[in-house]
Amino acid sequence: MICLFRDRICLFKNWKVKDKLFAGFGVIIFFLAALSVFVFSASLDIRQQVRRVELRYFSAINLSSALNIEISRIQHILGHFASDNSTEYLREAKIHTDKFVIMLAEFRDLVQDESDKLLELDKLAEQFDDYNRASEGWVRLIEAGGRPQEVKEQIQDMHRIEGVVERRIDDIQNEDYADLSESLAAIDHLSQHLQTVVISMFLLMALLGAWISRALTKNIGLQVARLMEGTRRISEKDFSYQIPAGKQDDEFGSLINSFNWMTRHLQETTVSKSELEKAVVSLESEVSARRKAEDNLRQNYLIQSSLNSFLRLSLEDETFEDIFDSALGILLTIPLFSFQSKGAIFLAEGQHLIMKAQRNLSPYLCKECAYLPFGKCLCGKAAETKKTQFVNALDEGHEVRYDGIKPHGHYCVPILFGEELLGVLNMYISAQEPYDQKAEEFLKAVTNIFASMIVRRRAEDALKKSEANLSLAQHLARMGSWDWRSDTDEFFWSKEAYALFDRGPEEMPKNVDELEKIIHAEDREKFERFYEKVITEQRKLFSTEFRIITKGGTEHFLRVEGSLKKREEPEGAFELAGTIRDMTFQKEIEKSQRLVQLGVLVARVAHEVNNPLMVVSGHAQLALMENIKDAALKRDLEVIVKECDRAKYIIQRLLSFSKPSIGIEEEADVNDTIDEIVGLLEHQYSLENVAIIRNYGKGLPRLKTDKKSIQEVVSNLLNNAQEAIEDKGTIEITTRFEKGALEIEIRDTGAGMSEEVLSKVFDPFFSTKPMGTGLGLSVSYNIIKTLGGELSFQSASGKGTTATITMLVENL
Amino acid sequence: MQKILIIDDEPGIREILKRYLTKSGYEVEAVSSGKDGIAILDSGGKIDFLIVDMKMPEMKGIEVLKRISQNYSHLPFVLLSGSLELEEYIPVVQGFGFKKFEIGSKPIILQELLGLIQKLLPKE
Repeated sequence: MICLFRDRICLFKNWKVKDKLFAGFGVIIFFLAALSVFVFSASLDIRQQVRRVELRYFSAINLSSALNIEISRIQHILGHFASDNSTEYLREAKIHTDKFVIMLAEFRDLVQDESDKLLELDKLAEQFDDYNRASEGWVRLIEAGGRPQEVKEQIQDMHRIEGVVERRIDDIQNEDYADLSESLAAIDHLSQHLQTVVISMFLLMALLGAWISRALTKNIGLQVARLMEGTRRISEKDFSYQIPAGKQDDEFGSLINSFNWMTRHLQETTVSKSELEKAVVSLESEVSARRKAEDNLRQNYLIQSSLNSFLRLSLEDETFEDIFDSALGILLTIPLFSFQSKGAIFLAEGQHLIMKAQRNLSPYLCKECAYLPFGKCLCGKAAETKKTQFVNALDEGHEVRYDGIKPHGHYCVPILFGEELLGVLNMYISAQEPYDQKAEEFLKAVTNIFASMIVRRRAEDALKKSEANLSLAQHLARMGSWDWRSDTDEFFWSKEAYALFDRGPEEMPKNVDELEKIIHAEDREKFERFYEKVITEQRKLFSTEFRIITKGGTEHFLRVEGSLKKREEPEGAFELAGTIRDMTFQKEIEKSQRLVQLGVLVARVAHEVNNPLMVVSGHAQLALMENIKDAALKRDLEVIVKECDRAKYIIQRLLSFSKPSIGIEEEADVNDTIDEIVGLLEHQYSLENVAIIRNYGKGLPRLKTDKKSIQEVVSNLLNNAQEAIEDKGTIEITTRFEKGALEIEIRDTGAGMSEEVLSKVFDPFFSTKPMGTGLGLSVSYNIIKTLGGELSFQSASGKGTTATITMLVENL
Repeated sequence: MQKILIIDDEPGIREILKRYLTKSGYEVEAVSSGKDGIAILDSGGKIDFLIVDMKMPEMKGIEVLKRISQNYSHLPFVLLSGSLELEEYIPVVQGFGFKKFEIGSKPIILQELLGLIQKLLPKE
């Protein structure tokens, strides 16, 4: 069903526009015709109905007239009866009365309707009934043998009714009929009129439909047909067809104009078919020529680009194996010369070829050709003859072979540097592949690149080795090299020199001015004098020493040795070149050697001093054993003993400077330990207008270390603090325990130290005091270091100094 | 009375030690060299305690101890030294076989020395 329906739709779809339009109008006309038929038949029906009512009405009127005639007849007969009282008349009257009754029934049947006009007749029928009843009355009287008088009375009554009926019939006939026939005629006329209208409308519609169809056929169908014809011709490459342009301004008009314009344009721009074919042929030949040229170009490009990649490869800092492996990879993937993706590169060593790289070779070959003597197989021959070996079949020349080896050919190209054989490049080709000169040339170009790479690498390696040796030597000697040109005033420094200056290549001094800037201020003048002397005297050999300040701010002691060489040009120009050596370590060693010597000296002196000290102390002790009454004398002796004891410790610290060691360990309270010293010094300080503020912390861990060492350091720091205060001031001593560390802080309001002094404060023999030994802080520093602590200073000129001893609790 | 032998090249030291220890109730003999000291020991005289100076010309204190260690390792003594390497001598001296000894640093407080003597040499 659905299929059927769809077929219909499809059928409908296949209809042409014209057919569709016709069908549309047909449907409309059909509906109009059906409507007209319906209206027409309805009007006919109305007219029939009207006629039927009219008929019944006239029948009823006729019947009523007949009834009235019958009544007149009965009257007439009864008139005869009235005159002679003969029953004969009565019987006749009776017959007519029966006839009247039958006719009345007929009339009643006829008027049983709801029509207005028939209703009037119905009322008449009632009056007929009355008359009938009256006639029945006298009939019964007669049958009962009634008296003629009574019958007459009855008849009189009948006459009365008779008169009414007669009048009524007249009325109906005269007035009602006129009305009825008039209205019926009106209806009939209307029906007739309606029929005419419907028929004419139908005709008009048919006409209209025909006209529209014609117009459509003409305006649309024709144009469409022409357009179809036009497009058909275009499909046949006939562009000459022009649709006659109508007067239409509608869409079809513009469509036709466009179509005509298109065909005209096509006609103008299209050459004839034969010309076209000719052009195509020439184009094809041109394209193939160009393609050939392009192929050539592409091949050349590929060759060039692969050669370039080999050149690039040869510059890479990889091992031979890696470079050759990459090179083979490139070589075997170049879509040129029908090389197979198999091959190997050998390097010559003595009279053998050593396989350095291979791709897709069978394991047997990899093993067998790993170490190939010259002359063996194709590669060996290439090496021996230094000539390219070309084969395109598996002949007896291919000495190395194995079961199942497939037929193939080779290009075995020697890698040559002049006459020197460096290796062999082995490429695979298919069997029967003809010799290609271009391929051999390409491979020769590749081997030339390999050769130059190998030679360069060998030279580089040799150079690198010697450079590395030199660099190592320089590094070990902490020595760099340099040269300087007089005409450009330009330095060149070796890599090792950077380390000596502690600077990057970019930060190295570029000329003499820049070098002078980083030379220690104290040595600058000396350097300038030296430079002048070398230049003016043109000294062939020279050497000097100076300190420089590194980027990190430390001093480096450098020694420069060099020679002067004249340059050929420009005239008078010369070049200085030489070495630069870091002497800092040597200087330190010299210093420490001096210190060791000093230490030995101090130890010797200390020892020598110890004995007299013991004698002095001992005599004092012996004296004290006597019963001395003089308190002042006793105190003097006690001071001698005590100071001798202190001198002993000072000497021990002096000794510890050359060989630090820990004295006697004893447990003590930190604050008490410090206060013992403070108590001794306080009186003396107060005379110098220096006040001591004790700011001792509570809950400090107890000292378990060398108490006397700590006291010595504190005493030392206090003395320094006091000496730093010129007029008057305070020394604040603070002890605290924070973050697992004990801190002893001595802060003075003295003159403070400059940054330069601060940086040298721990240097032995450095002193700002006229009579200072320069050992105090140095020894103090060593003591605290030996105890496992830290001694540090914070100071600025004019802002006082803070010395801090910090000791971790585990070192206490 | 217990007898103490002092070996020290410094006359001043010999003097104060002799005076002090005599005062403290000991019989004291003092010599200026190790050679003399060993001679006294070897002569068979009664010596109960020894005070030896480490640093002496010719024979060093440690050498003296080495020489007498064979026959007199039972002898208690105090080794006096003005240098810092006091502790370093302990294992050396122990290696000679001595058991009762102390090392004192010069200049020593006399009372401290007496304390050491009394500790090593109980009173008779």
